[in-house]
Amino acid sequence: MNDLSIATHSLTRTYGALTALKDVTLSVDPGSVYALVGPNGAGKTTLIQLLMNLQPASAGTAEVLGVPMGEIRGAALNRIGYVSESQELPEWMTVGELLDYLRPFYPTWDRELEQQLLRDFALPRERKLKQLSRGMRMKAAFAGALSFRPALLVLDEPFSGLDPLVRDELIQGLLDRIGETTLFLSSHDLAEIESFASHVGYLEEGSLLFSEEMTTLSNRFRQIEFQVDPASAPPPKLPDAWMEFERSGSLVRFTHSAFVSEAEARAEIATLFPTAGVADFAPMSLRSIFLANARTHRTLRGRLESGGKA
Amino acid sequence: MNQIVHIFRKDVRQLRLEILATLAVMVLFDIFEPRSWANSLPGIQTEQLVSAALTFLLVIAWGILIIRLIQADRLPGVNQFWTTRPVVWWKLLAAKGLFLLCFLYAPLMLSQMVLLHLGGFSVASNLPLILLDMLLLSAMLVLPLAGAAAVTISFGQTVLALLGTLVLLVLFVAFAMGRNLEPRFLASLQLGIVVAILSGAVVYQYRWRATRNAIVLCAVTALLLISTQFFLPGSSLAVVGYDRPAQGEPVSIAIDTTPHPKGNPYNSVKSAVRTVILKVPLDVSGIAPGTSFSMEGQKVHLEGPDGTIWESHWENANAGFGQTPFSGTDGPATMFVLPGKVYERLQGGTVSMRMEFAVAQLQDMPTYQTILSTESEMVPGLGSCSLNEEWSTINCRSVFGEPSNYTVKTFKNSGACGVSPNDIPASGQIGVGSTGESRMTHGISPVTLSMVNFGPPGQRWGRICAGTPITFAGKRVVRRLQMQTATATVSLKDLAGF
Amino acid sequence: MTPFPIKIQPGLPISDQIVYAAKRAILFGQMRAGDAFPSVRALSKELRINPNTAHKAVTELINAGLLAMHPGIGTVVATPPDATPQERSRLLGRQIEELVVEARRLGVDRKELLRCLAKQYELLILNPRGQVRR
Repeated sequence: MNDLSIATHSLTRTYGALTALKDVTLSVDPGSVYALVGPNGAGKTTLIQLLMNLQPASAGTAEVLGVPMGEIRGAALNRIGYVSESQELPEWMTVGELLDYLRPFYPTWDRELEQQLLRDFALPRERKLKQLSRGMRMKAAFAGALSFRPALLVLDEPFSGLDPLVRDELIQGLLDRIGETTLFLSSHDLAEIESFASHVGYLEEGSLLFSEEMTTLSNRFRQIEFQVDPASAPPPKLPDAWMEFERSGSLVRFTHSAFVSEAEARAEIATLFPTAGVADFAPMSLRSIFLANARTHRTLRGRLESGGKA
Repeated sequence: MNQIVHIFRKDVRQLRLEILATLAVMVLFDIFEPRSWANSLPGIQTEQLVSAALTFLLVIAWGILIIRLIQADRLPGVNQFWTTRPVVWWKLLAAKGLFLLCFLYAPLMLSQMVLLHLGGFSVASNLPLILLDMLLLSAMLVLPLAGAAAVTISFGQTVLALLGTLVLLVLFVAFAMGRNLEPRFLASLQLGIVVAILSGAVVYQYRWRATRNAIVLCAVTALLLISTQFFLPGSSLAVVGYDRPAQGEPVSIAIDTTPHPKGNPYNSVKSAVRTVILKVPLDVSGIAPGTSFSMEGQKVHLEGPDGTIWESHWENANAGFGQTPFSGTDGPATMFVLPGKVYERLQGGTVSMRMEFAVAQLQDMPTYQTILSTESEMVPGLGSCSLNEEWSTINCRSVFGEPSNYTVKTFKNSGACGVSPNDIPASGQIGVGSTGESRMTHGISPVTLSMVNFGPPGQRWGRICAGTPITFAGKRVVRRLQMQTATATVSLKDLAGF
Repeated sequence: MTPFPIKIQPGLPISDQIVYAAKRAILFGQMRAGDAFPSVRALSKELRINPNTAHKAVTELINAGLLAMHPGIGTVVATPPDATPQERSRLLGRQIEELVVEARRLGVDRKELLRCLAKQYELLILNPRGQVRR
């Protein structure tokens, strides 16, 4: 499909013996908000840097706004906005000088939008960037990336280390752009992005474990609790979709990652636990889903490393 | 939008202070440099000290400017500001070039034109030399600094990298100080290597931002420089440009085997352990009047009675001791250095010896006679000349290098002018050695100072009174030849003077 | 500010939550016919949600006849169709389900459950004279 905002095909990045990204294949529809989540060191920043042609890929290809990622330079960047907390800003410039410097590079720069963003973000034009707090600096970077109405906005941990007010202001700024702009962001602030992300990709140790619509994800995860007879024997094998299975006395709790309906789930439970009582189903926030996945993976890894069965 | 000008203007704003400092030093230099020309009496003048200090300061200021300029938009790494903005790489590079043009090359060229004019020289006719000087400056300062700055991420890192390169440079200089004859094309070759490969490395880094590879390219430049300096001098390539003489060439050089009084004061028993200096008298014939020969390089072949063969590299003539003035009874001679071990093996009895020479044939130019005063006057070949304040010698200012050797003859007065007679014949030398060619010196000031060296003390301090005619006799190179002597039988002990 | 009470819970489809909250507010009289309803943009910014989600919710409400688009004015609350008691109690569906499951877990039987319900209703809703409090 030619009009995908981002499309990757088996992207891999290795540094000698270390694999940072392994066979990552995902696609981002135009106008969507794609949240890339995962534990620290999973490879989110590496993936973003590959897409922005800041690093070369070891294998695989990708297209960003139709342009092969190795050719993202010069004019190809006048429709792509990028904000990263670790990117340098010209500290010696004032906010106004920064925007004045950037403006001529972008044919689609909207001066009125620029003014509005300065007002909304309460950014002082005359203050030097090096005198600004971290939050103000990020807002300045955002202003520079939003003012030209990019077709794609790539954000690497945009809210990291920012106070709630600044986060709120930035999210407001982003919400305005949804629809015109495709958003691709990596973040740990799951609560913040959960409400406006349309798609989620979960990266763990360089591999993309799942990449789907937010609604699909929320629909298939449930936290389930039910009572059993404490003396009853456990079933020989639990379904793969049951994660973090815990049993304490008569209470059983687990996370179901392939939930379809309560009726089906109840039936499944009844088959495995004949003594089960009525099950209680609770939807899971993105944060809980993240934790369930991360902890499961860590446990698996631990078992592998200590020689146990996976 | 003209991206190049836009980025250029940003750099100008960012580097305001550095630009100001550099231009200020440059202006100071322009003020003090002409003052240092006034008098070139032996001994260091304050003005010359100031001039030297300002030259040093200027190089430092330029260094800082270049490094800060390149690192205003850093190249290595993944967190630079410009790499995720629509900046076109070659426009960025062009903006940096434009900056250097405006604030380094243009002010320097302007300075040099002003200084030339103040020195009494024609600016227009010296323009090619000015441009050549810019090229040399690029090779020796701008490109190495730009290269180092393009592959590092902080000022401190760049300085460290340059210090590391300095170590290599010391190696380079060490090799260059050897006795071996350098090929005439060596300097141009090295200049070409530096300019081509270093600028290639810079362009490569701007295009690909593959820092490790760019560093490799810089390292290759350094290695090539060092290896050309190590391998080429002394090899057979050293005599490229020296033609074999045609049939019927009247000039010949032979080793003079007639007994000579022992005249080699250079050896002592102690020094003979590592090396021995041997003095070979020569028999040169067939030199037409009005011409002379300058020996530039030599090569020695020795063969002992037991078949031991020893051959030197192509060396600087006379083992680098320069053209020794010969006293009275001695004819032309040349010296060469023999490793102690070889001497041990061959000293007993006689050896077969032959030598090859790389010589320049010089033609006397018509003498130029004039009258000088403390005001400057143009002397062809020497530049702008005048008498010094004490009227005891002649100072000349030449453009971008020392002039070739001239013999200066005049009459001096031992007393007061107008009272005693001008009856002391004085003769002196000015300019570079006896090569018949001027030697270009690359520097920031386009004007080089030389002074006539009148020989014996009596001649040195007398006055050249007003109106005394002065003659200047110079030579020029007509061709360069490789010449061989016939094989002669000699005793090394005799040549060693033991 | 959103003119109806809503608290976005994580995990459940957001547009469904909005539709539910708006339906409740309209049917229970907290929003009357003719009242202005926030635009998609205002809704998205207020609730910090994706505008597409807000758009989906509004569309659903319009299709259900609870909202109407008036050119020049914007979105307004429409005259709601008469809500049958069954429809209304359907809105309580989720809470009722939870209550039943919880009661069963605790071992409270149907009779006791209904008795508790009636008592609670009396306490909160009816005044001492047996009239419905507003």
